[in-house]
Order: sequence, then structure tokens, then C-alpha cells
Amino acid sequence: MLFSMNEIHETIRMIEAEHLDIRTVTLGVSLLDAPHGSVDALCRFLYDRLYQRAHRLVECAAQVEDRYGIPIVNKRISLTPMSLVCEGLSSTEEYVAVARVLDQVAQDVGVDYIAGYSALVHKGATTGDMRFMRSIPQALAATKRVCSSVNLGTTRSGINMDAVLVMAESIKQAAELTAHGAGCARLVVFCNAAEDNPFIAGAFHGVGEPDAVINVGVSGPGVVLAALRRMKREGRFGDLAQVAETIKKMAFKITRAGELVGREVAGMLGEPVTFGIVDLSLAPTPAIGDSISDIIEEMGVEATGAPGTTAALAMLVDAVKKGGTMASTSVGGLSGAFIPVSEDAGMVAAALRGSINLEKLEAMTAVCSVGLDMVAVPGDTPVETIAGIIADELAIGMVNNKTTAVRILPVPDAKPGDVVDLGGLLGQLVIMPVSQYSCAGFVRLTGRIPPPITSVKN
Amino acid sequence: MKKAVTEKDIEAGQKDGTFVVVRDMLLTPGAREFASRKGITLKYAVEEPPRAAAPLKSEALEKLIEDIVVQEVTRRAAASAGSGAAAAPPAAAAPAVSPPSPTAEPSSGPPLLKADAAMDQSVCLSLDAQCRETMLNLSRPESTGNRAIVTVVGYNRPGIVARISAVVAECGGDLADISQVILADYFSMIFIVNLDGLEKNNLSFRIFKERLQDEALRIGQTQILVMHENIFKSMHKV
Repeated sequence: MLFSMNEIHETIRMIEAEHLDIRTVTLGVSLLDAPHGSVDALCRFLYDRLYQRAHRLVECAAQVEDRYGIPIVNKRISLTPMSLVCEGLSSTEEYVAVARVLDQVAQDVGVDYIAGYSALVHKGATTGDMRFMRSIPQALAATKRVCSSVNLGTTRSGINMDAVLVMAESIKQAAELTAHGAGCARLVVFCNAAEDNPFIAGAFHGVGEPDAVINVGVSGPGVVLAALRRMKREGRFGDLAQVAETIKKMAFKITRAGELVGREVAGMLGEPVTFGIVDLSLAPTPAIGDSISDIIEEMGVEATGAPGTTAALAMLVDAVKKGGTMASTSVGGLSGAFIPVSEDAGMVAAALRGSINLEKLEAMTAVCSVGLDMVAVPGDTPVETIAGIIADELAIGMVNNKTTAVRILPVPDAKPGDVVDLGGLLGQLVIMPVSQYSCAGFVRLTGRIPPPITSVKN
Repeated sequence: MKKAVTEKDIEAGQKDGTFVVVRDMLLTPGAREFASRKGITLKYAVEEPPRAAAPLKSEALEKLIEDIVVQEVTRRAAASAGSGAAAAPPAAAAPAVSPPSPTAEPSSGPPLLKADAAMDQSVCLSLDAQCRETMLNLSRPESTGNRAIVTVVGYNRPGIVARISAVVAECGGDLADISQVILADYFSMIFIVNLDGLEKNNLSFRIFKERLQDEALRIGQTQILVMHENIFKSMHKV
């Protein structure tokens, strides 16, 4: 027999019992040839282009799902940053009209989310960019599937602090315009945003990308957790090198499955769609046993957030990257491990018992992708404090030459310790306490934080 | 777009305990369960062509036979004409198959008739020796890499392999390998099925999978998983 019984059973076990799935198949679509000026012409173009490119995506993904028996949880579309496409528009109403068209086409082709209502303002914002950033709260409130992201800094150019403040205001406003602040789950700000990230809410189709690509995000914390538990049962859990080795092997297999699915879907969609990348990130879900926090605790940290958490996470992420890059030459996106607090049952538990807080999360983001993700704070948190949280997180990315992000939900009328259920993959928000000391004086300074010395490489 | 078929459709559309499923239908799990509960047989209305023998590529094979026949005829014609005309090149001698060869024996009957039996044998031998490999390569099922791994787990009772393999055969699949383990009252089986025949029956992978899963429902207390081999290949083979 070509395969051993063990290999076949292992694959089936990973899929059936350990939550191995393809988290997302994301179709990136270039809109660089969109007409400028008339909003009507633009809306017509957007609908036609996106429908034409994406109408078979869900069907093809379903066929691949059937063929390999591996679930594909989300089907998504990412777009050329809309601020580039919409530069010619003049009013918030026009931007919202465009967002509605995106929402409509997403609904008509049956995808879960459409991302790329985005702007790149890391070095400075054009007049259009400013209008665009101010339109985000209304655009999110008027839609259900549109996701927005803004790149506020890079290692090469520093952090645009003026834009940080604008986005902090937009985040607060978006929270007020949507129930439980849930609109903010579709809004993320970045430092060093990845152009080929397939994950929501930060996906967009970079300007360096071709006409249309399929990018794949894998999942699999459950698979890693189960492998570590097996090691314990078999008495092999003792040496860190062995632990890393086990994680590497699992990451290898997960990545191979992801690449197969990506290539297959891209092939089925045909010209001009090509296969882009596999994003190796371990992405948790609210399902029990599909949690990054559980892996950290399995490694011997009593409660995620306790001392040792950052080191354990660093080792986990590194092993995932090593295994994944061995498995595929097309690795891209964010590739690390996500720690979205609400979307990970173990992290929710850690937040409830108070073992984790914003400050510890910030430290953890220095060693993993992506950043402060799906964290909830009281709705009365001042704009300046949110800007300060964003600036801190982006500074970690800027200095360490890595992607960091903030997806924060200032839930109106909520107090620390409250729990808000967003349902589905978004999970449960636990409102976290925020430092009561102000940073208003600093974040109101204008201009840009200069790039670090590490940016001078040439 | 496929039409989703629900319990109601099955109830309304069934005739004498049989419901005909056509290719454009998508049966909901509820509908399937309903059919199984009510004892309604799901019949798949796909025309099954008579099962062909080995899927040989006929053009290539014909060419091969023709070449060998031509060679043999040339050799015999040359031999019977004595040593003088033996040097005729094969290309020139090729048309000699139908019209009587000018160099043939002048005696009774068509010139090549006497040699027929011997020639048949000789051609067959040549074919056997020379093209066995080619034929195998043309028809070898595993050369395509289009196979499914079917895993069946459940409560053991007689006839399970027969029922599963009957469905596989009915779809045009070809069992390439089986492995099974029986533990107390339970069994676990893995079938490797070559899928090349599915296309001839105009069946998609999805229908193949659904038919097997229908059968598992009918057998009861049985779980069946159907996955294309590529997922195993990509995860376990470098």
C-alpha cells in the first residue's frame, strides 16, 4: 500500500478530532484599473469586476472541501486598498455608497467577508486618505461584511502619529455606531502591514500583487495541542528540543495541506487567478481545544499570562515558522500565531480569571503575530489612551521589523470584567481594565515618529 | 446551480419506494435520513455505459499492431520470394497487405492464406513480447494518481465489504487495495479506489462520496470518509 495505516489514521484524526481546517481561502483582486471621478461608474465597475472574479470562489472551495474532506471555514475577498481606488471621491456619502456595493457583492457571491476598505498612510496621508479614514465608522456601520484596515507605520518610515490619532477617533466612533462596538471587530490598524495577508480584518491586495491571487490561511492549534498531549502520555515530554521538533512536524503537515488546497482552488478558478501564499499562522477558534492559550498551558505555564508565557509563545511561534517554511516555498502573510483574545476560548478564560491583561498581551505580541487582537476595553476609554495603546503596539513592530496590529473594541457602557458575546468565530469579549494615567500630551504631538536606526540597511 | 432536495421533495417525488436522483440535485442530510428512515431507495439516474475492458488508448494500440503486421508480412513475403527480392524496404512492402504480392507463390489460393495461422501466432507473439510493456503503461490505473482513500469504521457484521465494493463498482471505481482490522465487534477498513472510471460514468467526486455515504447510512452504525489521495500525499510524502 502506498500509505501506511498510521499515516491515513493520523490525517483523519487531525481533521476529525483535532480541528485541522483551512481557516480561510482568500481571493485577492486588483482594482487598480478602476475608473476615477464618477461614483456611479466606480460602483458599477466594482460590482462587475468583483462578481466576475469571485462568483465561482465558494463553489470551487466547496468542491475542494469535498474532495479532501478538510473543512474550509471562511471564503473571503481582499481588494486593492480602497483609498487608492476612491481617491477621487469627495464626500463620506460617496465612500459609504462604495462600501455598500462591496457588501452587496460579497453577499451575492456568498463570501463571509470582503476586506480591503483600507488605506496606507504610514508616511503621510493625502487629502483623499484623510476623507477615507473619517468615512470608516459610517462604512462599517452601513455594512455587515466589509472589513477595514489602515497601515499607520513601517520600519522604513516610522509611525504617522497624526493618523494614529485620527484612527483612534474612528475606532471610538465605529464602536458607538454599531451594537456592542462589534463594528470594531472589522477594523484593524497596522505597522508593517503584509500585502498578501489572507486573514480578516487586515487583508488587502497589495499594489505589488498580480490581477488575482488565492491566499490561504491555515489553522491547527488543536493539532499542535493534541501532539503535545500525546508526547506527555508517551512520557516523551521533557526536553525542549523535542517539544519544538514535535511542533515543527505538525506545522509542516498543516502547511502542506494548506498549499494543496490553495493551489487546487486557484487552478479551478483558472486564468487570471494564480496561487499566492500560505499563511502559516496558527489561528484559534472559540471551539474547545482549538486554542493557543491551551498550548501555552500544556507547555507547563499554569495560566496564560503568568511569567514564562512570552518565552513559551516565542518557542511555539518559531517552531511553527520553521516547520512551515520547510513545507512550502510560498509562505507569506503574517505567519506566526494569533492571540485574538475573544476568539480563543483559553484566552477568554485567562482574561476572566485575570491572569492576562493588556500589558502582558503587548509583551506577547513582540514574539508572535500579530498584535493586540480582539481586545475589549471600557467604552469611556479616552481617544488619547486608545491612540497611546496603538502607538505602543506599532512601536514594537517598527523597532523589531515585524507586523504588529491593534484590533480594539471600546465597548460602549461596558465596565472592566463585563462579558459581551459576539457569537460565531468572533467569540466572547471580556472587557479589560485600562491604565488610568493619561498620555494625551504625547499623542497630541504632531508629525511622525522617525524610523529606527534599524531601518538604515542599504 | 444544483437543486436542493429536502424531505418534502423526497416524499412528493418518490414512486413505489424509489426516488430518482439526477445529477443536478443536491440532497440535504435531512432528506437522506428521511429516505433511510422511510425505507425509500435513492436511485441515481446516471446512465451506466457497459463496463469497458482495460481503458486502452485505441489509436496507439492500432498503430502498434499495424506496424508489427507490416513487418511480419514484409518478412514472410521476402522469404517466400526467395533470396532475390528480400531486400525490399519495409515502407515499400507495406501496401502488400491487401493486394496479392507480385512476388507471391503462383500456386492455388490467395498468396498469403497458407501462412495465415503461422503469421497470426507470430504476430501475437511479437505483440506479446514487444508491446506488453507499452500496453500496461497505457492502461495502468495507478499511473494517473487519481485515487480516493475510503475509510470505513463501524459495527461489524457480514456483507459490509461486499456492499461498499458494490457501490464503488457501480460508480465505475476500481478497488486498488483493501486493508482491514477487526477489533472485538468493530471493524476499520481502508479502501484505495482508482477513480478513473468515474468520469466515464459522468460522475463527480462529490456524487461518488454521497453514494458511499448513503450506503453507510443504509448499513447503519457505520461511518465512512472519502478523501482524495492528494491530501495524504501532500501531508506525508515529500
